[in-house]
Amino acid sequence: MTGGVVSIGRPNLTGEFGRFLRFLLQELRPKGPVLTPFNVITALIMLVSAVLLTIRFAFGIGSITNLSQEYPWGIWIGFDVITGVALAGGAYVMTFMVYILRMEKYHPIVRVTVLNGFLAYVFYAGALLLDLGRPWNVINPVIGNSFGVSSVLFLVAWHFMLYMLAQFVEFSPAVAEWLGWRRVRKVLMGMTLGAVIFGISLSILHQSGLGALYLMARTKVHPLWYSEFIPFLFVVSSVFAGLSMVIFEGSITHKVFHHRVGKVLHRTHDDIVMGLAKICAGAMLVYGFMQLLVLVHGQRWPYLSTGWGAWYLLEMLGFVAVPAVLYFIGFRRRDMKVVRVASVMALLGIVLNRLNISVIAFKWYAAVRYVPSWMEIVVTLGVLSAEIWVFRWIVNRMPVLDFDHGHQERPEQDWVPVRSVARGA
Amino acid sequence: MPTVCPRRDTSTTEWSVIKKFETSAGPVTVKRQCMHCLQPACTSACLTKAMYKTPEGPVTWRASKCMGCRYCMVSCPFDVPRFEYHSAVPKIQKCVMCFSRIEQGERPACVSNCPAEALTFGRRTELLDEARSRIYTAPDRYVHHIYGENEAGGTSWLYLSAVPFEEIGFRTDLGTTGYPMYTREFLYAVPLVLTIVPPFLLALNRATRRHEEAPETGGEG
Repeated sequence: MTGGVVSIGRPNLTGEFGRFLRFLLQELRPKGPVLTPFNVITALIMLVSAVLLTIRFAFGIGSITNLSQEYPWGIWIGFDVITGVALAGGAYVMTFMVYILRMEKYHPIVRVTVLNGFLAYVFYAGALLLDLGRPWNVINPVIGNSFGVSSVLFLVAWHFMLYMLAQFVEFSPAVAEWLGWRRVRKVLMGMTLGAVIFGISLSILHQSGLGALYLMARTKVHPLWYSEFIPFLFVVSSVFAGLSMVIFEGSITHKVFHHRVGKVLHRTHDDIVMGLAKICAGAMLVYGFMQLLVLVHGQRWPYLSTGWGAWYLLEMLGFVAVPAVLYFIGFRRRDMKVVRVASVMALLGIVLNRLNISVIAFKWYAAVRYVPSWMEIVVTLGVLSAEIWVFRWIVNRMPVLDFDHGHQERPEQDWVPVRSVARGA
Repeated sequence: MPTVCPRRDTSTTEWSVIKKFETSAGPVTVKRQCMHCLQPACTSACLTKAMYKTPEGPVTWRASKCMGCRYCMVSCPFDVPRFEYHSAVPKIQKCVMCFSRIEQGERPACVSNCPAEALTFGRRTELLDEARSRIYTAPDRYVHHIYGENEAGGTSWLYLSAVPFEEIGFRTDLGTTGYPMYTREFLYAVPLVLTIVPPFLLALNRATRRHEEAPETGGEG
């Protein structure tokens, strides 16, 4: 009896599996021309990065970086991790707007934003591993034999891992649609709201946690950038950092992946960008005011007349106040160009702020300053290139940009599997 | 032999160094090493408990736990931990107050070997009494401050000096709060955020729901 059931089931299963493998192999092949200038340059950067990382793991971190006893953290932490995570903040802000506040207007870009956030965490938080001197022990704070629960870094590390999981769950319906797994997709869909709520809570904590890392470096960061309010400033700035990245990436993605952009997103893209510009202007106003309060409250104005003061004013006026005003003007005049300029300037402002705290104004009194080596920069570009390649691979195959529907108007039968090979249909 | 000068600093191979400063009272030499804080920044910064404050006082480093993130170096107010940048299997190097000797009831090597008896070893309370009595009996010989009594919440190394401490390379802006206290409020906020924010978000999600919508389709992606 039972043998009969198995003999019916078996050929079907293997057939399904064979089809699934063929589908994967077919999808792994590149789409479009291979030898483009972009591909050649980024491949070269990744190749050089691989060589450099081999040297680094064979001879130590000092063999390719300019890190020193004075500067234990360089751009691999200050830019890749601390700045990268701030710029990936768009995912939690966007899921909050779409799934919690149900701002349906932004639904068409939620998938690409979550994908960008997820990949940013995988690659930039992943870059943390390159910087670890003893990466084989990275498992220690995970498996529970050594829980350093009094450490802010312990919190940040755990939240990175859990948030990556949450983001993967948020994005997973797209994978299920790509594979044509109808039932799996339904289950994953049911998990979205939970993942979103969990993800937002985690994001608030680790975005602020990255700032809280510097609370014990209080005598090392220049007083203009150090304050006990760093965690708050980091969370608030991650809102417009993330959304500015969404605007900036969106403007590039829409040109490069024009063929993948769905009808609804194509129609509403400008509206979405204008809405985001308005939100950014508001968030930057709040952030600027908080910075002003911190400056006044800490009685730090005497520092403004120094060289560091000029550098601080450049960051606060040139790359916070000016882009905030530009966002506002761009929104009022519905001028895409102005909004794009504002987004680039706001992003530069975030890069400046995070680098000032972690590298530039860190040990501002040191006799020998840290300047990254060309090899550190190449590895950073290599990580960025790898991320773009994976992003491109996914966007060209899975329903990311052509995810048009808000969840209300999307009937259950309406979703179209991109490939239905796995179902054998 | 490296020259004895203010620039000279501890390294991965020199856990303890003598620095020499030209001061208002002539040249002064100072021994610097890990201060072995009572509430160390490094142990609270360490996410694997590799940095470890022993009950006896010394702060030690445990190789099997450390993942080499160097957050201890970022946090340490005295810039003590040193990292082996040119090793594939790098270690954190710092003075461990000869912990293995202390365990056997001996004094640290530097104290045992100092011919001038400039270094004393003992219980911290007794050393503080000794320091105070020296200042009291010879008020003109010492500045009236015991460096390490309250700095960064108090340290296991205590210094007496004839010249102001800022003239001999000591940071005097560290405050008297134990460094772990600076992150305590943030860490206390974590369970609060994790318990208050999710129900708030869920409530917000439910409050913004339109009436005709079925309850199950709250989030979809």
